[in-house]
Amino acid sequence: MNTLEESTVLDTKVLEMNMGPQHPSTHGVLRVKLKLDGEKVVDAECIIGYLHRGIEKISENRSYIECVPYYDRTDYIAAVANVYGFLLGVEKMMGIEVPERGRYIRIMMVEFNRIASHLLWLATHAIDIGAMTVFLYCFREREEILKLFEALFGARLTTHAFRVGGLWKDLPPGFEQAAHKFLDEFPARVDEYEQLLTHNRIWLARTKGIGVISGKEAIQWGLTGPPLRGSGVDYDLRKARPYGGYEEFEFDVPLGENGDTYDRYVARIEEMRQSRLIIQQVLKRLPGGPVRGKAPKIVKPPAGEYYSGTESPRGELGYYIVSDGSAQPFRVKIRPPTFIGLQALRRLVKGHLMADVIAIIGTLDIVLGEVDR
Amino acid sequence: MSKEDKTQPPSESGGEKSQESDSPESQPSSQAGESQEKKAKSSAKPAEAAKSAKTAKPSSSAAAKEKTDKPPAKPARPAKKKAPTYEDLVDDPLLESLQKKFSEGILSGQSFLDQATYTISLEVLHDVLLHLRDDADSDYDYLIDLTALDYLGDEKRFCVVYHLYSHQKKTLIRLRCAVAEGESVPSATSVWRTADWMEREVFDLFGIDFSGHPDLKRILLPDDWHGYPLRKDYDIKLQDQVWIKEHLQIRKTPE
Repeated sequence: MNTLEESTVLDTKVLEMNMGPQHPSTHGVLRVKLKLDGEKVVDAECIIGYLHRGIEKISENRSYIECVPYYDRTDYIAAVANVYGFLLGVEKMMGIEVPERGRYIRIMMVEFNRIASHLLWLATHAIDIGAMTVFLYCFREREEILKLFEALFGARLTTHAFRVGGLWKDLPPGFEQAAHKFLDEFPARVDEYEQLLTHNRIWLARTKGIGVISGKEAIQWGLTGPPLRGSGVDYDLRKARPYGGYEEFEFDVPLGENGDTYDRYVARIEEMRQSRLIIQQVLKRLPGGPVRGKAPKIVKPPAGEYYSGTESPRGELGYYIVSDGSAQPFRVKIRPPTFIGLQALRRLVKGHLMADVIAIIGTLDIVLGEVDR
Repeated sequence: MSKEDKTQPPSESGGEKSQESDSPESQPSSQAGESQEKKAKSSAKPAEAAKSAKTAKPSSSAAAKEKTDKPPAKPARPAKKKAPTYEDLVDDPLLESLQKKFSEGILSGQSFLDQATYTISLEVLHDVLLHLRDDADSDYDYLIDLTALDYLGDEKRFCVVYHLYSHQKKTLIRLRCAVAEGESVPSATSVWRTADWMEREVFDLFGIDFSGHPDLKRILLPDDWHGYPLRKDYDIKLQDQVWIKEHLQIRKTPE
């Protein structure tokens, strides 16, 4: 017990506070245990697993083909890109060749998915920080992409986009015109978002110098994708270890300099423009022919192992496939970019204000379905 | 992991056809039941399975031999023109330098589909990881992934797998390290910070202990869960019934 004299000097103590698991700006069921000194964050511990469905265990008990829809449901914002990496791995192990038209359409749809995913990120990131208008604008454009998905895949979110050897079916009539229309309008739309945000004083104050991480440290923490490139490290798997025919297309990898929330924002905005350029090249050079190659009915990769890494909208998405020669995988390990990136939250928020935690969660672009699997 | 099995189901241009044609005759009958069985016992390592697959299909292996006699066409896509097998690494500078430094600690160096795999004994694992990160010749500054495999029935049951990447050299390698049940693996968190959650995940789902980890506890499953789901003797339908009763109030028989 303090004496009366002692207690006149007010003492402070570190306050422990829970953010989530039901919190609108944690983008799902993420619980962050914050230790606060006033408004300053001393420590942050992430508690995850609320959405764990055991997808890796399920994979071991399903055939390779049956596994595919489950990977739609890991990162449901970028379902097309998620299925892509796994199928590339299986096709590589079995030596299945995808016809050129199939490869091109796959790249086009993955890039469309990248734009859609970044739009959703921008919408929610902006609304978390307080810019309400961008949210509706982004959803307007994303809707157009989802309509294209629906036309080709028959579904908007969990698309089950690709099959072993290519695609389920060819582009429906009118698809190319709709895609061209979207691509022609898109640059003006991106300019519109940038008008609202890029030079906005409030936006700058909320993002510049927040969550700074150097390139070297970002590699130590295993960050990939825009969070790594925002720190100036040129590592994009489409360039570093090209897959699926990306080496045939020209595009730039936007890099940041300061490694803060603002630079990651700029990198993602520029990535949307680059994805548009890739899609335009695909549409220009789109060859005829079948969209699906010859693939056996029962998918049985030879005994062995393969790590198939792709650049998903969120970073390096890897599938480590181990086959024992049977029709079910011996093990599929998913390397989810956001599960590994989320560890860095602890490092990024230290010393910042409570409100910045929300900005930093936003800038990591997490999807809890993928974090927890 | 054997070097001699050159005859896999061929995957060359003609190989696809033969694979397709032999699938109806040899696979469907044995396939479903056999793979179920394999999952249950799950003792088959990739290499062993490869051997058995080879002996089961004499006709296709003969076809493969014919194909390999032909001169290889188009060097542009070499990986797709060969049936993938494990091959011993020859003239690999990394393997040589590792063997020079750690001698018998490096058990083998193989490649499968152009991805190099080095098998390392547990005793030298931590030193090898440090060496790979710090040595200027290797410079593997980025740990892509850390996971484990369960070869139930083997003397050393688990296999911890590391995927490393060098941003400078732009190469990817894989390390394998066999671990017996109850043995603890030196933690890589002091080498790469990113290993933290990866090791917690392996601990959570396989029950492998990592010595020196700062905060080794479950990450995806609840803290008081019993059992390690990704082990091969943990059935897909198995659950921690005690935990479920206690926390979710789901009871099989109403009281």
